[in-house]
Amino acid sequence: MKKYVKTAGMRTFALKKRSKMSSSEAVKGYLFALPWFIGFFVFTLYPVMAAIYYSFCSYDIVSPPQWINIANYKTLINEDPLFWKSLFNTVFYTFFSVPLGILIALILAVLLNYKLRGMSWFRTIFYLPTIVPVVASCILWLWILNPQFGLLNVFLAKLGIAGPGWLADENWSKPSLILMSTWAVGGSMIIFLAGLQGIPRRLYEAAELDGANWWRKLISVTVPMLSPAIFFNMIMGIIGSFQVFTQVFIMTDGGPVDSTLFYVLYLYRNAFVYFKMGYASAMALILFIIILFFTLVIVLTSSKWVYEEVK
Amino acid sequence: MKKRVMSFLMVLAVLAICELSIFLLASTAKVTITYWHCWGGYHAEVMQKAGDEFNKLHPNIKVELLVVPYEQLRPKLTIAVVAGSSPDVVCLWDPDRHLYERTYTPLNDFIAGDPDINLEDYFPGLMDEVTYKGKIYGLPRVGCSTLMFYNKDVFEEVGLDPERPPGNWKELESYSDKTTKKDARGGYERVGFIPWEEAGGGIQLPQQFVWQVGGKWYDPETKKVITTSPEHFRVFHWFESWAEKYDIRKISAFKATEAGFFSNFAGEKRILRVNGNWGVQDIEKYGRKGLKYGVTLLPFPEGGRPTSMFWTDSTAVVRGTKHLQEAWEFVKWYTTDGIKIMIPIMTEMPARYDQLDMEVYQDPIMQEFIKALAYNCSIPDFPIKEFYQTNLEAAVDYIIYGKKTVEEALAEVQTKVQKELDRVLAK
Repeated sequence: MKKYVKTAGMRTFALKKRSKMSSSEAVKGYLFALPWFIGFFVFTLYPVMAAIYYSFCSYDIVSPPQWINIANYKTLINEDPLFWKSLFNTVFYTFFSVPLGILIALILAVLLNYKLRGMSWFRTIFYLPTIVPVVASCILWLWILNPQFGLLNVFLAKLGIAGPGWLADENWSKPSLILMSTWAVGGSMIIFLAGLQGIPRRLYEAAELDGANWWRKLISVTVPMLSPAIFFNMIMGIIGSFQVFTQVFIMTDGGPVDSTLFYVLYLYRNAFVYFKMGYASAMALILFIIILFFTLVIVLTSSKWVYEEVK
Repeated sequence: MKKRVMSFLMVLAVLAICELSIFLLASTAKVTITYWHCWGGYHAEVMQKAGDEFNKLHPNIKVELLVVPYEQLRPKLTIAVVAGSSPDVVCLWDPDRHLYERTYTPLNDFIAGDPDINLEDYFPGLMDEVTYKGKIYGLPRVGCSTLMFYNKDVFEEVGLDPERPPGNWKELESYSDKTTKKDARGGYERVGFIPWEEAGGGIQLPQQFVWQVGGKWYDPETKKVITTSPEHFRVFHWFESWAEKYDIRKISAFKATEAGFFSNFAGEKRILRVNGNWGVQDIEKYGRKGLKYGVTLLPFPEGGRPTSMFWTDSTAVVRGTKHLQEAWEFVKWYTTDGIKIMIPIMTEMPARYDQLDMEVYQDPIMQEFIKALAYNCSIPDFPIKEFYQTNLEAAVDYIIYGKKTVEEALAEVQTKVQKELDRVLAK
């Protein structure tokens, strides 16, 4: 009896103490997170909600927004060929630059993983393009891609090839931008390098025992073990590529005959040149849905091709 | 005890000094007004100079100038007006006239009440640029006109008479053909004339050529956008054949080497180029010493008329300013007296007849620009200029690259711009 009461009393006492502690802990926790919450609501959530609202309005900033239902969306889809053109341009760019970027980053990472002297210098050099400010790299590439005097065409001329007009030619403008995007794969490369460091040596040893050559090791050990990193880079790559803006804004402004009119550039034009905020907000919401769709597709199919970490 | 008293006295002394300085500051308080303009580089220094002069002459008003890059001025201003943190005075560079009344304060009452400002003092057309539905939103600060610059040295080199610039479209074409030179790899080393390009300062050569042959771009009576008249087709077919002759891809490759707008003329890579009066400065800055050039009206065909394009940089008072009177004082001074400080250094064109007698306008080149003021054309009372211009540029692109026929591209522009115009006017 005594024991029971004692035990019960102790247990009850212990519970009470925990709940008091946990509630005050919880309050402190929320307080510490409060600055982030406030920032999130004010600077992220509220503007996004506002943009969704404006997408159903006609809004030119200086006058109050007028509710026009889904008219913006109807116009975009049915009556605006530039919407489809910009979407095509962006999808084209993403479709080529993301896989190409991942491939090049992967190859570079594998090469840079060899234990050679001075390898850290090489890693730095290949990472440097990522920290060059985008605007500076745009000016740089404008010069490199210049059809008459640019490094690329001068080099090609030495090989006897007449270089195309690159950014001035509507058939080569998107490939030029894709080429430019492969210059800055340093970020993905670093992630792959980190992933490579995490592949256990014993897997390679086992493969060698089975008589695997370098190619077999690459595609049966390295790539599957890197699949989480590939998964990550693919999603980040798609999200980023769909929103490319600075390069086209500075270098081509939509390019010859709208060949480099990317989605976000057209959005910007509608918002800040024509002051059609409602229309631009509708474009933004559509882009959100498209990117979300692609991301979901990759995530939901990931179980088929992403290998979980080997413990 | 002593220490405490000392520290107490110290605190008192500090408080006293603070109060005294606040009192002093308050008694010399001036009204501070802000002026946003979009002129950078050496232009900004001249604007600042005039601003400093204003501060000296008006001890109770202090104006602070801020340079905002041209493309950012409108978005920044619009957002500032809605947020309530707008400047007091701004450079009126706004193609969307239907939004004027929400962003700027009408100045009709000030103008009516001020004996120094009369509408007849201003060159024709300039006041139209700042007026919408009868309300005047700014005072023109400078005017401009455009002429074709031509390189006399290269004329001599290829055997053309340097004192006889082309006088009509046929001569323009033949002069351009003669002065164009290809390089060893088949690209262009030097190009004579490109008729469809944007000529800087918002001047669009296509617009000028259509006006020359009697075409119009907009009918303010019927509120109809016009891009499919016979005059339009004539001009754009001419562009099409020119682009074919010169091979548009080689021209684009050549144009990609252009750094900055007019420097190619100064660098003698372009021989015939249309520009406004500020081109004179660019040649002085970027051209070699002794570069001989002349200016002439853009050649027009038989039966056509000479044209020039213009815009005006006006100074406007923003809506909702707290210092209306001071802002008006500044706007008035800046566009009448202040401009007299700026003109000699910047070779700006006058906006008012009474500014014509300045010494800098006695230069023969400037005289030509002043004569051209009489031929200025513009699109009257049109609210969505930027939309029109961007779509027109895109249409020109499609035509010269051979992606669309002239009729198709121009019809598209007409439908698109008309639709947007109807939407905007219906609001």
